[in-house]
Amino acid sequence: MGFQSALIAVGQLRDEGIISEYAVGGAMAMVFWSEPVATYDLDVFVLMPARSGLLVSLAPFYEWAARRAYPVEQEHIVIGGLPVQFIPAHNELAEEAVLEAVLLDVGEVPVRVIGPEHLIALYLEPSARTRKWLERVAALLEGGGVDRRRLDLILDRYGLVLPGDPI
Amino acid sequence: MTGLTSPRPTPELIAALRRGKNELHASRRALPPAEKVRMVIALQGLALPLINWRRPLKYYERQWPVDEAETSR
Repeated sequence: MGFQSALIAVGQLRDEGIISEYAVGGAMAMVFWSEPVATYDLDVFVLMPARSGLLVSLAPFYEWAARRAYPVEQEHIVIGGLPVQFIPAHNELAEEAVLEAVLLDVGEVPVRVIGPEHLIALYLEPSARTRKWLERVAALLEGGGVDRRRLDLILDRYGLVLPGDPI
Repeated sequence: MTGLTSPRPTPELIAALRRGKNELHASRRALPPAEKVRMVIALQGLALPLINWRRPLKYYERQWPVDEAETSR
């Protein structure tokens, strides 16, 4: 039970071929690149195998959860006591964020985490650009761990702009 | 204007306080990942009773269990 157990289980999801890759995103990714905050669920961005077709179904996740007796609570699967939400990558930026995730060691467990530059880009997407997300962007930028050149390249590639930057 | 004045801190004191705060934030940012997870769990333990005081908790708002490897430390 616990964070590391949950991440080991997510890794097994990949080993079993249900997903092709994963990376932790959302507030928990923020924690790794900034300061710890109280967050309650774990967002896991996933790439689905090519054979799963153009339309993504979450059914394989629920079947996997049932085989392992992980409870399902609304849109979360409770793994190791953590509510985990699996989010299929919704566009090229999200796919790139997962593929180029950074490998961190949490205790003894290697964990793929969306890098700070991609995290900022995801927060700047028009569909996600809320006050809360923009505060997260500011926190990441103030943290000093962001590679500005890499960030600029990503933002240029996807037509995104930082708040206050000329469009 | 009330006409009342209170003793004011020196600019040096304010600067030192701000510096200390910045150093605290920087030290938290620099924690190793496992330590950050431990701190998230500790913060959940502090925040949840306060949230529950204001409103019922949402179904996913709960404190995460600590990994077995962590409890044996």
